[in-house]
Amino acid sequence: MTENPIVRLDHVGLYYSRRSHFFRSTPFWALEDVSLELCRGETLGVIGRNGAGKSTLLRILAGILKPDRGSIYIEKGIFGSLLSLQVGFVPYLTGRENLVLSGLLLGASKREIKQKMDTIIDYSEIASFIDEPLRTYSTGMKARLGFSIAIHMEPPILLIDEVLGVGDADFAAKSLQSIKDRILSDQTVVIVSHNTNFMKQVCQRLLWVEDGVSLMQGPTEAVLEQYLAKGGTVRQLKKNNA
Amino acid sequence: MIGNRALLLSYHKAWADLKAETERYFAGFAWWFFEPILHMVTNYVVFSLLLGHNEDNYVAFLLCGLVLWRWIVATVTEGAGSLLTEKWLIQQVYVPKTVMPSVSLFTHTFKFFLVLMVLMIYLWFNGFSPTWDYLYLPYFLLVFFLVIMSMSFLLSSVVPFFPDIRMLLDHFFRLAFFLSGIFFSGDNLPAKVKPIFYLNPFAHLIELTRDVLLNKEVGSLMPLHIILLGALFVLAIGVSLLKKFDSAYAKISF
Repeated sequence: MTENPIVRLDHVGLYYSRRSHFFRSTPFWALEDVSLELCRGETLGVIGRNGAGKSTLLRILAGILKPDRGSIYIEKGIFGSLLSLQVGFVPYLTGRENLVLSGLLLGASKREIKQKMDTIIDYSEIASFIDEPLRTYSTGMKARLGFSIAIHMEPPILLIDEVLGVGDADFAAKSLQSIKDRILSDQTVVIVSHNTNFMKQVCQRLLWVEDGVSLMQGPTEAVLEQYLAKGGTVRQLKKNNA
Repeated sequence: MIGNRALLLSYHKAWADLKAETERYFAGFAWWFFEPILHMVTNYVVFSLLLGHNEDNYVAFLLCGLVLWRWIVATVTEGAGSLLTEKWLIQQVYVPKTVMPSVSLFTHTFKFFLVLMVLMIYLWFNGFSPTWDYLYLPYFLLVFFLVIMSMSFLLSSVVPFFPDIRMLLDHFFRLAFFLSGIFFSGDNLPAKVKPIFYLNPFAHLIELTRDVLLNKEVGSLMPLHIILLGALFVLAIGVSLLKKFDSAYAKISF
């Protein structure tokens, strides 16, 4: 890990406003103090309980949200993109038209989409329906197309919020495998998951976030050991960090 | 002011919206013509038949005003709420926020031009053939476009924080409809009221454009230049607000 990080967050905090009265709102700090470093090509896992701020953190890395305090450095030309399914899907357009629109929204260029079009359609296994309107698709078909588009995008940093297979059993297995392949390739990945076994398999390093505070960042085994032994230790660690 | 990616996305989303509209209804894109025609018929019944406006060429006069008015109201109303409509998208991917009001601007402007062509054909058949004054039209329509754009951008930037504005907007437009000289001419107003009537930029825009279409003498262009500057100013505010709050929109839980 001698390489310079391409992303660095220093004591980042972000709040959501909760409106309590007509003109008054109280801030709710979803992230209070999170620091992390991400290097090119690595896979960083983010663990923590529900509501710890993991998804908010991913949205910051995706550029959707900006921190309210702390500093953030992202190398020039680098951006993160969430693996989001069925982005911008319009029921009245054909599968192919939705493919283009969704791809553009996910940050791909027109040329890229054209190049990958056939691969995406093949992967989705709905080639014979691709020029039919999306509203005639079953839920499973939509899910397959949505996943196929998302997995074929190649953002500099891929952000994954929970790894889930989609579609029927066969396609679910195939999609899970594809995510795994992508993670294990030289793609830079930040992944949020509650599945500690999976994280152990794919992540080089883990970041542990609790109540909006990053408690620990380091090699997967070490962080996981602490995380699994948590209970009363969460407060203790927070104190140590402070 | 608006980046390349924003323009590409706006264009594609606008195209997708238009295509989707044609697929949604049985009559497809014919509705782009039916809808304004029905709207015009309603107004014709009220103002010409019921209220007895029977001056020469009143129908042509009324149609010009209505076509232009529809362009303003449809675009601004949809544009104002565009960030709310796309809230899910805003939370999923990073999209420059100028895209949202641009989409409704593009779709409604496209539809406006279709209807304008039909209107022109109607006018030509009724004796109002094109004159050299038609050369004014591109400039007039450009100012129109910028006024509509500036209102859409500014409103879309604040509506997510104050959704109630949308409720007021309907009433604002209803009032403005009666004050913008759509079914009456500013010339016929009492001298006392005239200066106040012409404080309304819509009144100028509609009157000047209509004068060209109806082969009347075109009045002073000075008000139009002022409106253009005003529109550019408002547009600059709208764009800077959309940029300033770019990431704040994703935070609002709508």
